[in-house]
Amino acid sequence: MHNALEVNNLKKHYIQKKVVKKDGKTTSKQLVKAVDGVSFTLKQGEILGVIGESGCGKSTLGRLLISLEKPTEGDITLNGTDVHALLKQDRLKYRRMSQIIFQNPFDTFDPRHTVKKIMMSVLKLHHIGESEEEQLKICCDTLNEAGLQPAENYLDRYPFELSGGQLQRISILRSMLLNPIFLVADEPISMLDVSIRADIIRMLQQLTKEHNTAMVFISHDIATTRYISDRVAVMYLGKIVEIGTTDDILHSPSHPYTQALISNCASLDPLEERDVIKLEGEPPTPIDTGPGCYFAPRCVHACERCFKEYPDVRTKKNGVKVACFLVNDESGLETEKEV
Amino acid sequence: MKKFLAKRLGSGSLAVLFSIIFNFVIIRLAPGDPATLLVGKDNPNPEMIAMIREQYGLDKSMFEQLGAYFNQLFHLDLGYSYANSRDVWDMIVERLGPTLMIALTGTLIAVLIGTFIGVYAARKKGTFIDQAICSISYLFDSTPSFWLGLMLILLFSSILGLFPTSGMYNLRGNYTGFAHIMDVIQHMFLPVLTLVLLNIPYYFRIARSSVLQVMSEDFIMTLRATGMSEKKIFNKYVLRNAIIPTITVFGINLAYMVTGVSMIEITFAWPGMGRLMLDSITKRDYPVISGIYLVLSISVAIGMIIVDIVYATIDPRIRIEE
Repeated sequence: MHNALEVNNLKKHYIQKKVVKKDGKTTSKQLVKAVDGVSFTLKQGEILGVIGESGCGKSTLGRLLISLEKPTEGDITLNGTDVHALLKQDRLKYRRMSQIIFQNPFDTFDPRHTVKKIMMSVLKLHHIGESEEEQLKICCDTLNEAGLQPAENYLDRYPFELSGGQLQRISILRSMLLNPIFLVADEPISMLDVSIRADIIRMLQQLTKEHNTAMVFISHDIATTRYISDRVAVMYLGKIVEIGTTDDILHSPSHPYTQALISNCASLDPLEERDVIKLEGEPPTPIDTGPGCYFAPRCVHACERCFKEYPDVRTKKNGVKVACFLVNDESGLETEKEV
Repeated sequence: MKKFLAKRLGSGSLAVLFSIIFNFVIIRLAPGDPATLLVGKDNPNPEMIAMIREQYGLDKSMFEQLGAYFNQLFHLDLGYSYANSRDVWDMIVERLGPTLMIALTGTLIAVLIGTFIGVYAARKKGTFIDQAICSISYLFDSTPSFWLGLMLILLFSSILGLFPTSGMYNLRGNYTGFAHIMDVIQHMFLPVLTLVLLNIPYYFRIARSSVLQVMSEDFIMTLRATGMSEKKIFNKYVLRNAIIPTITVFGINLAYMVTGVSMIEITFAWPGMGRLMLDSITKRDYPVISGIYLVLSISVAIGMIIVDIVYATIDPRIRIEE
């Protein structure tokens, strides 16, 4: 059985033209490394949470994963087949295999089209259902099953007449109409009211389980990610610094960045005493990252070596992969050169 | 729909009413007096001035004059021109046709060409062609209409001798039927060309920017993710959404069309409304000015209602309240 998704050394570099530097000089070209060598695998039906601060390349990664952008380097394998080859061979077939849910449900749909038109256009494009009546029935059934009842009430409405939660539900349903084996959810709940976030998460969980869909769940909300994910990847400046099962990462983080991130996560218990790790220094930019560890300038444990070379990925005994020199030095764990 | 129409007609008539009063008052507040202008500067005769004032009711208070004007309008009479001794309505009707001829033709051609180039440039965004088109559009955008008109006369009439310099038809030609139509078209060519060249940048920029804006919308990304072909996305979704601003601007422009072409009319000695308006203002020919503004404000009001209706049919977000 193939892995649903294999990502190998994925890179996306943007070329920025005419940039004014701090000293007032302009350079003609600059490389922005939005995603810089990301590798991971995803089993069928598995949910991987991707967390990290704003601008670390989460959303770019999401768009790369479903080929809305072309990677500068690296390759993605979907169900054992190279995505590039799949796209060339049959674009529609590839799109049926991988889908995305966007952050802002209000901007996801053409404002001039009704829900019916939005859903039907997907079915028509992919020739799902034999007649128009059958397609309409599929739409109704899907809406009814998802709790948007009665479906007839929703079919003739326009996106602006619906709430964010309803729209996001429709967005998810529409993606799942194609029965994909891989789904990217790019911060699907960050624009929604807190009260309906749980519903949407539950719906995502339920649907991906039913269809055995693998999902990359991009978020900056650690609590939600913990709730939904089987595994978690922590991103910093276009690289995955730590990846492993949700429990391992959140309970015993190894990378200093993950530690800082999790220590800053709000707790429900106000009496709980915790040491909040404050990060010093400027927020990172993915330009001129230098040879060393990207996190080194802000890292409390940084040593001389950290500034000279980027740490290789080490695998801990529990399977967590970390890119940090400290892991080896402190716990004497085995080192693994390859990714 | 009926309620909407009634509502808009009501607010439209109110706007027309206010514009009548406003124009009536403001032209009379402007310095200058039609009576003195009629008598002439060389040998002003006070008795004659007083007589003219009395004849046209200019000696009465402004309030009384306004009342008299409304009474006149109520009897569907726009009044009598001081300077031309003719019925205002006849003068306007005579001039409206030629103005609409060049204004409508020019604007329509400009909308079509401008939008087409705009969409093309948006698709080629950032390339040399796009930048070249943008620069040319800025050039024409900053060109004064009379200068462009004169340059076109210089090129096409003086040097190439292809088109007549001015007027609407050949006064000595006495053409009839088809020959007359061809003659008018030949005279129309240069004014229309001027108008087209000046208006293209306008519609070009709107089309280009709205296509780019729609293309950057999230829902276009969604459509891509569903696997729709770029061609279908562009033709079916981008274009239809991007055309809305063009329609709006075109509707608003219809209102300014008549006044907008007045400089061109003067440059080409075209017997249109714009020229009549400017002539009347210099002569303080109050009835003609008021008449022209009345016709303009009615056409603006009707134009806006039409734009609203068209708008509501193409964009469901702007539904007419039941």
